[in-house]
Amino acid sequence: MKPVLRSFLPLSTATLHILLALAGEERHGYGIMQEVARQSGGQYKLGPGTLYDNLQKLTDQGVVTETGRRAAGDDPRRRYYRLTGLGRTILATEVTRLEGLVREARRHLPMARPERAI
Amino acid sequence: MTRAIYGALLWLHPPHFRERFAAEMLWLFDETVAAEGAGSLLADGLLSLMRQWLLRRMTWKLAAAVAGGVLEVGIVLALSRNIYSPGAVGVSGLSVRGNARAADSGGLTAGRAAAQHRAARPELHASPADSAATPARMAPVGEKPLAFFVLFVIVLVYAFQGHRFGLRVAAASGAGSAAGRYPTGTETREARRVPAKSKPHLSILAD
Repeated sequence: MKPVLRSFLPLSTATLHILLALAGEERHGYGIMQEVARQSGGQYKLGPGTLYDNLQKLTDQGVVTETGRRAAGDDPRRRYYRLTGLGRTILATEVTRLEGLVREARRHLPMARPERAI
Repeated sequence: MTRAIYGALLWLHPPHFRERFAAEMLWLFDETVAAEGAGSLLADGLLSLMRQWLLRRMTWKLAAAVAGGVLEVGIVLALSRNIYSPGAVGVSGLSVRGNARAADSGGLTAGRAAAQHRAARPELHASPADSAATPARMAPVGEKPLAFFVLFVIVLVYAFQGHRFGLRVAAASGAGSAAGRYPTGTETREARRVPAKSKPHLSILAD
């Protein structure tokens, strides 16, 4: 793993969810919040403060970028964000890391069955 | 009402963050307040406010540097009997300088973030008059270690003056001075060795 990538990992829960939400398509802030809620089955909800704090950090780091897209009839306050190439690489590396972690966890907990609470 | 409070919370955010995201956050508030409830959104706004000022702006480093500097100078003054010794003054100066450097590193971090933002969103910094009027980087206080040093020297001088005033009061009242607890500098070594309980009138009677 490149040292540049290592400095980003492991991602925080909020960052991971935001990058996952932007992996499919570019979204505005409200779209990201909705997608995060959908991904987690409503278990994890991002507040606007947490969302924009993370977006600020990620755009400063060049992981996410703002697009100039404006759909007709869009609220002028809406801004759209998308992943950069670096963002995709970071997300892919983190997913690979998490896969290894899950494999390891399964090896140590072969008989355990997850609760179906969620 | 809650919208106005949320707007006020956004207004209290650092200008850099406010210019970038406040309008969009207010729009998100309008969209989600019915589903999420105003309480959780206001709490989120308050947390965001604290996070932006304390963590992202590195203000905590500035506060820690000031508190640390004052504490260290106080400890040096409290522990050293002779506050005019080069060692005591040197330690005070070094501790102050160290704290100023710590604050400076925080300022540089914030300055770097601001420079990145300037590059990413040039339209927010587009006015030539504005860019000419403001320095190239943010963190106006953190990047001036000399100003910090001067500030702490002033604090140090005031502390010296207070300490000297305390000594003068003690010497004038006689309390502790004769017992050698507060050497005033005007007393000789011999005078300090005079026990507090010695009573000259008894020696006159003995003669």
